[in-house]
Order: sequence, then structure tokens, then C-alpha cells
Amino acid sequence: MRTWKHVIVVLALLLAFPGLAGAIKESIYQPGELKPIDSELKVEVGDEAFDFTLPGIDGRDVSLSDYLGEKNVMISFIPAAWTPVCSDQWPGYNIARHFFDETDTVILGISTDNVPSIYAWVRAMGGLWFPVLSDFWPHGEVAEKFGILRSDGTAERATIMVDKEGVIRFVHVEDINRRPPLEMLVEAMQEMAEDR
Amino acid sequence: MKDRFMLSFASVLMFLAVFFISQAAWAIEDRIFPQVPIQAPEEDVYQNYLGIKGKESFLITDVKSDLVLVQLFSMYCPICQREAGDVNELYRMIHEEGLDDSIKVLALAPGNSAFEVSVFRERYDVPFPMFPDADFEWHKRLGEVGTPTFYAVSTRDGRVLGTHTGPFREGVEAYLKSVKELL
Repeated sequence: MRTWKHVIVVLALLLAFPGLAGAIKESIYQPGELKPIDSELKVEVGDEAFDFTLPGIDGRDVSLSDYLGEKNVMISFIPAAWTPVCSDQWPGYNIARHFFDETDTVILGISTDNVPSIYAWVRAMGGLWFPVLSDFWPHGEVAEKFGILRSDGTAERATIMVDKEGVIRFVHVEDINRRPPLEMLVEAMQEMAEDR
Repeated sequence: MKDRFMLSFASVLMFLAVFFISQAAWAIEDRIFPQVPIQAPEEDVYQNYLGIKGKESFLITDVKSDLVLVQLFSMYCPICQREAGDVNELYRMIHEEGLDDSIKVLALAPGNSAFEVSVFRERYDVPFPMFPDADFEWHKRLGEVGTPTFYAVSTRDGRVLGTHTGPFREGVEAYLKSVKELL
């Protein structure tokens, strides 16, 4: 009887395994083509960045001011977990980490999804090296202060860079249907680092 | 009685396992790979590898081999990142088995700029030519498939002999064996 159990478990695993790698792709919701930008910026380059504190998916709260005087910060808002372009954005930063290290820059990834959803999504993508934060409640409050909260409660695909003095040095709202090009972000980080 | 039930259940699972594993390598296709020119790489080493020395652009059917494995990948795709070592190993095994004249490997990167492709290439030390598809032109022509996807294309007539999406589930050696069976 035990032998049969072993045989069945092994066969079941054999069947399940080929599907695991495709699981993340099959779980992605397809929203279709969306209005490219659906908000109005409330910040610009040269502004002093307001401080905020948000819960991270590792259970710790993170504030922008934690990095004041220590690191440049690239705040990367994505519209929603489990959607196609977002799932193909942050994992790229895993293999581009040296650009961030060379320019003394950290990433704060932010979504307006709640912590459990973001946690499951980041795990399914294989993990990320930077803090990922939830701007779920009060819903989209930080995104709204930056002027990048869309009318459906998601955030724009926006990148805001804040230098070590707490000054906004780069603001870019990408068409929600596309990824911001990596070279544009690297150039902005390098300029921010060289100006120090 | 219980043993007979278990035997039947195990037999069904065995059948399904064999069926799915046999399907895992290549989906058989019968269509022509888009005959659209690709800008030739600047580097001599890639021009020589592909056998397109002196050309400004080339078609897949211009590549000097019997079969071209075209990989669609993205630097942003976690599966492509995890699989990069295996694809390099596949390239190395093709070379070591003396199959360079029969099988060539190249990659197209939908939605990736030349810079983004170079980040992936340098990170994983990729030895074969990779081409950006920044505006998703190739991606659209190929039906907006997920990454990574491999196309085995015959250079004789440009026919797609098979496609395969996802990692090399049975290992690199088994994968190369399945490629050789397409020759």
C-alpha cells in the first residue's frame, strides 16, 4: 500500500512540475490597452520631496526619510500586481543592480495593491532585491500626493528620483502600456550621482 | 481490490505523464517564419558565425546552417534570466558536438532596446548574436507569444519546424537531442 502511495506521489509530481514555470504567466490578468496617462503631476524637478511611510511586503515600514543623507532613491510606481507590463518591469532591475550600486541609488517599488497580493506576486516572480511597498490604505495616498493616482485607483507607471538631500531630481510618467527604458533611468541616476 | 484501484490510478497518471513530457519539447508547426530582414550585427564574430559577412541585413534563410534556433527573450523576463545558463550550455554543446554547420542560435528581444539587450548579454555572458525588437515588430509578426519561446526554423525554405515555450524541462542534453531530431 505504501509503495503505491509513493508511485502515485512521484507520478503526480512529474505531472505537476512542467506546469510550474508557466504558472506566473498563466496567472497574469490581461487588462488590454489602457489610457496612456490618467492623472496630473503635482510635483516637479527641484521640489523638496515630501516624506512618506508605507508598509513593506517583508513586514517592515519604510520611510523615504530613512535614506536622507545616505542614498539616492528611485521611487518606482507600477500600476498593479499580476498584470503583463508590470510583471515584466521590476524583474529586469534584478540583473541591472550594478547600475544602482554604482550610483548609490536604492529602489523603492510601490503599488496601490495590498500587501498580501504584492507579496504573492513578487514571490511568483522569483523575488526582488529592493523594498516593495504597499500604498493600499489610505488608498493611493502617496500616489495621489505625487499626482499619479489614476481614476481607477491604480498608480501610473511613474519613476521619481530623489537625491540624498531630499530633492526631486527626475520625474517621468511612462505610458502605462509600456516600460520605461532602462537607459533613460540609468542616465538619470548617473547624472544625479555625478552632480554630488 | 484496493491494489487494482491503485494500479489503474497509477496507470492513468503514468499515461498522462508520458503524454505531457512527450509534448514538452516541441509543438509541431507548419508555417513560414516571417521573411523580414534583420539588421546585421556589427561584430565580425557574429557575422562570421551566421555566415553573413558583408551583408547590411539578412533573412533567417540566409544563415549558413540547416536549422536556426531563434529564441524570443526579454531581459525583464525572470524565466529567461533563470534559463540563460542553459541556453548558453546548449550553444556550447552544439559547438562541441561539431554541429555548428547544422544548427545556429540567435535571439530576438521584444520590447527591449539595444542597451537592454546588452545588459542581459553582459550579465550572462551570452556567446550568440542577440537582436533588439524595441517596437515589438517581430513579436507582433510571431503572434505575441510569451518569453522565452524557441522557434526551430529550416533555412532551406524558412519553414517553422517546431516551437517551444518555457524552460528546458528535460535538461539541455535532452533538448539538444530533440533539436537534432528536427534536422
